[in-house]
Amino acid sequence: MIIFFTIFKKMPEKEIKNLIAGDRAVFIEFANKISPEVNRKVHVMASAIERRKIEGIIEVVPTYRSLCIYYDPLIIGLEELLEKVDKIGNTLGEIKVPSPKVFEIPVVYGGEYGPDLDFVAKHNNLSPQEVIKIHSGKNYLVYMFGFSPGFPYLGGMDERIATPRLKTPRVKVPAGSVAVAGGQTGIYSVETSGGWRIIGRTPVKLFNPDKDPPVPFLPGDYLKFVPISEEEYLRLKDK
Amino acid sequence: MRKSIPVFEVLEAGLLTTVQDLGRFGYQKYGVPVSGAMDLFSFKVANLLVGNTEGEAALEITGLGSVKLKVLTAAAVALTGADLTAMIDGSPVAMWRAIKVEKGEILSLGRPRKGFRAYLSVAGGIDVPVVLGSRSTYFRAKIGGVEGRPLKKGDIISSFLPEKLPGAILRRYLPPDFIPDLTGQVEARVIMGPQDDYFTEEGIRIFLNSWYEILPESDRTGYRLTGPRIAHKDKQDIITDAIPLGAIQVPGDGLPIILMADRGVTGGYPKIACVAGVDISKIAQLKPKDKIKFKKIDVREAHRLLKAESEKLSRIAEILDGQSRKPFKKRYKVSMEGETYEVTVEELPEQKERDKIPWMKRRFAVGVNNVSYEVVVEEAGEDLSEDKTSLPVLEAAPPAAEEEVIFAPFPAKVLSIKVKRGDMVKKGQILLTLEAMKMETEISAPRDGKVREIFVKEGEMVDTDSRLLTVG
Repeated sequence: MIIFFTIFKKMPEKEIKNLIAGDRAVFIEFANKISPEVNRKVHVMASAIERRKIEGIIEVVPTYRSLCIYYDPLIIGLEELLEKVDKIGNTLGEIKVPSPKVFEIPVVYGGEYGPDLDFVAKHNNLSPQEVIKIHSGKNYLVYMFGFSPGFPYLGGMDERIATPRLKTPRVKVPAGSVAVAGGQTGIYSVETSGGWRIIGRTPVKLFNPDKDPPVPFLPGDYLKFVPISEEEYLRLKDK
Repeated sequence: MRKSIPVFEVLEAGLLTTVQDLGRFGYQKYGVPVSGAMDLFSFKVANLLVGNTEGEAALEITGLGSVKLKVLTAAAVALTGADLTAMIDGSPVAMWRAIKVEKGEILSLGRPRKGFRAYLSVAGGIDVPVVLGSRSTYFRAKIGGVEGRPLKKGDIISSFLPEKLPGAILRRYLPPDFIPDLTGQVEARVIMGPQDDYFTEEGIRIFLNSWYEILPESDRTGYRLTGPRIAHKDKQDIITDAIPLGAIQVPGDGLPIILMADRGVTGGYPKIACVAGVDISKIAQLKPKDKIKFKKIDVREAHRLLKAESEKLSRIAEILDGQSRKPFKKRYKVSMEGETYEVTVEELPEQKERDKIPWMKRRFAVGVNNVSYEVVVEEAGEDLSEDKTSLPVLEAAPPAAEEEVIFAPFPAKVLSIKVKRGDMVKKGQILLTLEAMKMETEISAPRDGKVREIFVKEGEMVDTDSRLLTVG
């Protein structure tokens, strides 16, 4: 069952800015900071616009604090577009959206799956077990996707396990690698090069082009990392 | 289900030949880049020339390395975009028009003479699976195109069966006035923002008044430029947000990057301006060392330009359809065993109820001395013109020169040199590696011999046809 609830009873929309980004995109910028509240507005606005199915809007891309609207100016004029979007923005308080879900992400920590776990521990004067406990001890907000297909930008990592990036990025980081960089944590969704410190790996496929949507969770949802054994990892991976 | 047939076997793939269409829309919110043809104008015209709708999948061939395609089935094709010295069996090929390629012929492309990306369309469109709504290759996530990667030797490229008569397609050509002039210099119109307020007044003045040069690290993701640096006021990063096509990011080093088809969906550098939609195709034809300058316009002007561009494409489609409608009609005098016949041959147009005529089946009205016949000519698959009786031709070996100079095939950086002066090398041995557009390519010895001279150093930039070394 999907539970609907109403948010932003009285949201002052004065700080919303419309920014022209070339001749086929506009940004609706809600604030100039990263916060769950601001990000929530972005996602509510995104789903409201999508549901309205306005002719001429090609797609919308929600990010931390702004929504990018791609449009076809041969179908909808800029003034008309902004007028419609403003109208939607003014009614955001009345829009009902599904409540966010929490997704469990099983992770095998350390060893060959998390070659940097020991470094992250040593850097923060912790034991590897303490790092795992802290990393898997809370829920992380999925702010947005970007960097590569299905790569979630997560918020809310504990500063006690913050670790600087590698000086030289690895040429190949396997898909599913769970990693830390500065005060952020993330999951590599496809095999790519990368400089984040890898502490574990999940068998969950974060990007599956054969499915639509190609991602297992959506922006606005929360992730919870659950430590698993190597045996369980291999079992889940084969599924 | 649309039927498809193999049309090409890839004998040589070049460094970057990919299947592209208009792009993958609707999935950027999941982090999936748009991709698609870099030069959309040339891509769309290539499709229109062979009677396709403008968005069918076609090959994007980059002016990096040699491409050779063997024709497996006769087909109507068109080449547009960059002039990459295209040849069929060694003879130059006309671009910007529908041409027929015959089974067994070899279509080759190589050195870029003008522009950087050529488009090869096939009547019917290239048949690769649709992934998330598009056939475009995005090789960084291994999706689209042929197995999610650039073409490689041995690939077989299939195309769907076209519905238009080949005779009608082969009359199509683009009137010369519409052919873009690719000079290696572009004055791109830009719309300022969304983050132009991150730059100093002087920085913006420099941005709009300087020529920039294309760096060899440029690729389908973006064009990296070098030239006068653009100063930030204070912060050099923004909170990561979306990146539209043609957005111009300026990172901390002050050198602009124009984001292109394979750009990441989001990024954290401030965007000083965005290139007007109509000028993206021109930028896509620039190669390393070419030049670009930016000119400010407002968004209304950019919209007017987009409208004009769209009207131009509709006009082109109309003209080409008009060419197709002109039916083949000729009168002949035929003499057979002393008797002379007056013969008229007229190709019959597609009929609405019967327009599912298979490929290579053409209908003609043939009049012989005023008696009319309907003649259907259907290709049975065997090419009888192949001479099977003649002796194998011995390829005359060119006289062995004292020394052979090896030239750079394209502008590139010398990554590593594997031999020293005086080394004895065998034919095929790797002599050095070049890097261009982030792709490495190996240059090997054309024959056995001694390395007489090396003209370049590791890390050096070389132009097309720069001397690399001599073997003799």
